[in-house]
Amino acid sequence: MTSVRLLPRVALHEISKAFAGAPALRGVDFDVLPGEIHALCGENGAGKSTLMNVLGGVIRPDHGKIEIDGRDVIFRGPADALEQGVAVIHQELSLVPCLTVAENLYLGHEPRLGPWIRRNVMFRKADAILERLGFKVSSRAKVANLPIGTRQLVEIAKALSWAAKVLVLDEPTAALSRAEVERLFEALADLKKQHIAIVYISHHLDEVNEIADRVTVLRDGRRVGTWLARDLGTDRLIQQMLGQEVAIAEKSMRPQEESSICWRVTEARTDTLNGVDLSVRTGEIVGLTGLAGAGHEQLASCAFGSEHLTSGRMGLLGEPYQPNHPRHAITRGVASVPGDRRRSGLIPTLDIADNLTLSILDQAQRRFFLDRTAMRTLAKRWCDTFEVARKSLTQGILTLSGGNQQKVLMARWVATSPKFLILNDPTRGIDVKTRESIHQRVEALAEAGLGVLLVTSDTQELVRLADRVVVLREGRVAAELGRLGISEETIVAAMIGAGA
Amino acid sequence: MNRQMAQKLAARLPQILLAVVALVLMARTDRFFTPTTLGSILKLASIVGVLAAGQTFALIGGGFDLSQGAALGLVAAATAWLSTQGVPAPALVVFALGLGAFLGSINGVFVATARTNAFVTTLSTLLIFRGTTFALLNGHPIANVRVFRLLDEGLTLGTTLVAWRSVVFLSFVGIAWVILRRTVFGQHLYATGGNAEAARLAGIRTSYVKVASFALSGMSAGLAAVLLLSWVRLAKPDTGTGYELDAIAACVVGGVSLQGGAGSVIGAAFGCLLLQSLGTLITMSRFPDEYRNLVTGAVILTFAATDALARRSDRR
Ligand SMILES: Nc1ncnc2c1ncn2[C@@H]1O[C@H](COP(=O)(O)OP(=O)(O)OP(=O)(O)O)[C@@H](O)[C@H]1O
Ligand SMILES: [Mg+2]
Repeated sequence: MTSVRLLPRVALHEISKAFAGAPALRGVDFDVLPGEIHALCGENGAGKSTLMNVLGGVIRPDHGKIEIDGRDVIFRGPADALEQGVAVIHQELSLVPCLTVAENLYLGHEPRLGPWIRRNVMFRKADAILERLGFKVSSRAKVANLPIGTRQLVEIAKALSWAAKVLVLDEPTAALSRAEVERLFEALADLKKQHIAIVYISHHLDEVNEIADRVTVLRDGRRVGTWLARDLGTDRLIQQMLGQEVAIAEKSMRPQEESSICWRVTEARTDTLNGVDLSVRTGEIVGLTGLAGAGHEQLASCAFGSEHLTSGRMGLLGEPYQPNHPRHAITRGVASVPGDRRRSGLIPTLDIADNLTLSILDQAQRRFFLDRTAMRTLAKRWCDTFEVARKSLTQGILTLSGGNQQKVLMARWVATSPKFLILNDPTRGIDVKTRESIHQRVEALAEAGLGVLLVTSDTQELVRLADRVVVLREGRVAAELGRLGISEETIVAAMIGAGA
Repeated sequence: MNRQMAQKLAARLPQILLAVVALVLMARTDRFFTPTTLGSILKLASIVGVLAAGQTFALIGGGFDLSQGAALGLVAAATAWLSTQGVPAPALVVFALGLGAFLGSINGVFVATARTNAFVTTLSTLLIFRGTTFALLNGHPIANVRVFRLLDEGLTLGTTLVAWRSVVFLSFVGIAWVILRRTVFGQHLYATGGNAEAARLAGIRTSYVKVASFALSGMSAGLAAVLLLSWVRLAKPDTGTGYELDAIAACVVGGVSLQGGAGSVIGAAFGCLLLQSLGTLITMSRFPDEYRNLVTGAVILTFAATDALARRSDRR
């Protein structure tokens, strides 16, 4: 049987693909063995998702072939790929929120009797899969009511309901907290034992080191090489990805003398918040975190006026502050970079320039009219400042890679010259290099006197940036960590409430 | 860039072919490319054209306005009645535009604040406006409305007469273009239609923007009512029935997205002119008029399908 195990479950040969003449993949080879976790790394826009879209039958390559268990196959669509046992969990989750877990699992291949769905069989089979994976989710729960980490697990269960032999996870941990990541890893270790071939894409390189057997690096649509993960440390991995080293700067030492209060909230209550007090000083970066549903995201929305406190008071630069619409918040000098780029940040139908200038149109207004030349000048200036890699300012925003989309959003908000900046997951799905450059920019903003509220589930980011971390649990402040007390362990412990 | 352009053109090939075929057919038809024929096409297209320009606002904002035709009917009836009371024309024009905008903003308020679906909302107001018109006219048409007769004339350019209605249509399209492309409101409208939640979080008052887009659509119905009265001089309970569908068809042919957030008013105007040209062509080539619907339907479907296909190839 050993010889069988050496045969790759799936192999891609010389795959090339261009979008509108711009090559995204140039002759890439890639294979995965059964029972292996093969990590795929590369900068934003390197071609990782495109390669996996080829593997999943979502896009047709211009050249190259796909082999499954040594046989040539052609995928005409995702259904073909699923039939051959290749399941791709895309970067943007694809569950139907209004359906139950079981209905989502069997969407497209419902157990049926003629035209009727055998619902009981479906729920039973779904329960069996969830149990085999050790997920404590009810198959009758509505997906809309599940936290994002659980949805990620449901996606995996869905892939396995197709009897997948190859499982592709495109940035599964981007929105997960450390505790949820641990659960995911346990599930993956189990799947490995069942000889499932796993492709794992992530910008968190320490995760890659933790679970991957082999690592393949893509750069500009070319394969740089494939290594055993244990032979390749994080530093060398970064070097292969970028062709250079990135210096992760030390946390900058901002002066710690008492500065004035930039923003504060007292006794904040909503349906999830249970009386939270919090303040951010000018020039200070305060981290706010918690498990899904702990209330940190909602508090950030309230601070920006897109949700409302049922009771409690807010103040901004010494004056009362009660925004009832984001418009109010903006006129008071508050900016908020949204976490979910696709849903609440970008306007997909508009181009880069339009997206970037959306909140600073008054700067391009001449009397009643909008000066499009001025708009383009503004867009160009901010794109240059934020180093947005682009072909032109008029290209559609969604044709940018994730990292560059994020930079456009950051630029949109920094351009409003805010005094108080709320950042929601500012580096979700962003590569190491861009992440570091965004981090340095945030520090520079704080040094220039902005108050920054950093709302994220990424504990490393909190350690790297925050002067103070406030952890919420069930709508209350569970812990407040000062500069010396901040570490990944203390944050996670406070989040889950261990030893607190 | 050039390759991109070429690919974009290639994706639009069926549309381009269709336009070319239409042009060839027109060229082969006697007396088609004469100032008189073209002038009459422009004149005939003007009423639906104004509606299409208004519909463009609703569509770009992510909405949909089925009540345009009924609003036209109601405004026409009310205006005609006022004219029998001796109200002068300029005041009537202001009244018609105002009433149209008011009727449209009723749609807008429901869609933006109660968040009723645009289709359902405007379908309901269609029935309400139509019913009100009937009640207002008591079932009897008001004939011989002559206040707007000046509009039925035109200005002579060289040897041809350009109808005032055509001038109004073209000016309205021009103003709509300026509003959409050269004002902050226009930019906000595109953003709201593209992703309302993201637009709200970018500080745009999306409810106001939506109400305004429906009000503009209603206002265009008011303007169209004035143009129609100047032409037929008659307000009936069923005046303007089905015009909204012609307007939406013109928008679709002109590439305005029913998904919201994309399209241009110039496109909608061209769509309207193309559909009107085809209609005139059929009449002139002595086909029975019944073929008109068949051809129009086929043209709309072709355009909608190529548009959808082009979008799909963008993604692949
Ligand atoms: N539908 C598309 N149309 C045009 N260009 C595209 C399209 N999809 C991807 N691209 C381009 O192809 C390149 C590779 O993109 P891809 O999404 O594969 O990158 P990635 O490695 O997954 O990046 P990220 O880490 O940001 O997810 C990028 O330059 C991107 O702009
Ligand atoms: Mg990707």
